[in-house]
Amino acid sequence: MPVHDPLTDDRFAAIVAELRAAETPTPTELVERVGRQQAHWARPATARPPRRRLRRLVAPAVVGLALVAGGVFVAGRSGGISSTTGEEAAAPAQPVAAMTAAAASDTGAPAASIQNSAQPAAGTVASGGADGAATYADGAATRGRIATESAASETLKAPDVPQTADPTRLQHQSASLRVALPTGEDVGQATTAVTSAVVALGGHVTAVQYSSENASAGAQITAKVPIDRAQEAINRFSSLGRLAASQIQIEDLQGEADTLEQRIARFELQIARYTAQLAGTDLTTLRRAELEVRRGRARVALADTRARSTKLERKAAMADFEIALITERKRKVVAPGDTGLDAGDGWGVLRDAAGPAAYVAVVVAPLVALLIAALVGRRLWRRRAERRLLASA
Amino acid sequence: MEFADAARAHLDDVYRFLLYATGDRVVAEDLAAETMERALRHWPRYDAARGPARPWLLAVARSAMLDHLRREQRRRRTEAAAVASEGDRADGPGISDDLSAALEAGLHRLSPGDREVIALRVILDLDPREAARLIGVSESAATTRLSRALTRLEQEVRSHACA
Repeated sequence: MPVHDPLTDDRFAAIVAELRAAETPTPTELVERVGRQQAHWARPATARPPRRRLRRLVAPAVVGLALVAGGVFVAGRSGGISSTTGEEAAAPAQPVAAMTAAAASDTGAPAASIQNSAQPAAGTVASGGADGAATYADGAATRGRIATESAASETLKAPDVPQTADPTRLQHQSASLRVALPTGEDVGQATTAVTSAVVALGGHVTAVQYSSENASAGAQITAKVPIDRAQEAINRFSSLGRLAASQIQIEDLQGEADTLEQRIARFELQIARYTAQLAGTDLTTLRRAELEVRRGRARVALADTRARSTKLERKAAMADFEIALITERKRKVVAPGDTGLDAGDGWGVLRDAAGPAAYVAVVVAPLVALLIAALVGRRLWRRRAERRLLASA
Repeated sequence: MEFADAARAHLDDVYRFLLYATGDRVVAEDLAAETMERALRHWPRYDAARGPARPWLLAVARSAMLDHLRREQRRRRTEAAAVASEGDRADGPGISDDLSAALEAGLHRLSPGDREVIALRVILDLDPREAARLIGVSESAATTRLSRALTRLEQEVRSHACA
């Protein structure tokens, strides 16, 4: 509704006319004063930086950056929306890359540890590149350790047993493989194939765990395979499906085996001495009894040491395998313009969106509301103060 | 546009606004000089694309006037001779020699807020929208404020004439 302009009101016509007719010339002193000021302030006026404008730009920029950073953090934690394989997200976090070489100090046994892994971020498909760094350290008294580990979202080629594995030395190998298979049925068939292969290679299965849920299934097989057929076993297990991760560990046992050999020789020598002494005829009954006790103890120790040596050789003769068979979510072929999501993915999409939405609702919205309230309040307060000032002065 | 040109073109308007708003020639002169000093310092912030220089200079003048009123208010609160200064102002030079005594007295009795809106709308002939924007109120509020100010001024003039 238009408000009537009082300047057109006849009541005020005389007053308005008199006010407008009154001359109020600007004093000459003022004109001169302003001229002098201009001359005085001219230089600083151009040099002074617009600090207030800068402040007005910087403050919102800082707040905006903080909010964006928070949003990115929340989005990162929620995983975002992208096509991914369940196995990738479930893969344990592992170091990106490390290469370690160690040498057994007392035996001079060559030993090295090589770790190589490429761990993709959850929710992304990575090509599985590797980075490298090397450290050197002394190994344990008589053992060295060699490990090769890899993990990636894409199919890895079957890993080779590291060249540091020396067939002339007593070494123990262990391998851990994670193989992804298309369906739960494939997991069952692969489990059978693994057990059959283990037997065929001359080994034996020590444990099998199989579980299934809906269309997915998983199996964990622990087996022992002759050391000389370890590489063959790795190749066969890797070919069952997509090799998602692998780890090969080699432990050098030669130092411990040498120590046991030396003890056996020492005990055999002791026993031979005791036997030779006991063959003499000039021994007192007491001395003879003492020597027999000692020889008995040496024989027990010899048997124990031989048992340990045999156990060590058995350990070295068989490689330990841990094969994890998992069901892989099918990768969808996404047509242009298609999100690649079906109705079943709806909950996942909602869940992924819930993090940022909750962040906006819980953190950003109250902050923005407070900011707006503060700005409006400040403005209103200033207006009110001005009104009071103009009314009361 | 250079500041010198803007100052030359609008110094009269700035002075007249401050004269009517404060009701004091001396104060108006000082505030006009202060306004020009502030305007010169802040001239790099002035953006010609956002509007002409006149409203911008008047806004600076209004800000200077408000600061002056605040200073005066503080001074009156702390100084015992506040009443005396009011008397001094009444005895000082009028707004204009062309104004009748009744109108001059009536203007002095108005509040600075009333005088401010009269200066903008009547003396400087700003349109309602410009004046409202300068004061920081809506257009209708500015018009209402002008109506009340003129009504009060008319009453003051009438009561002065009767006396």
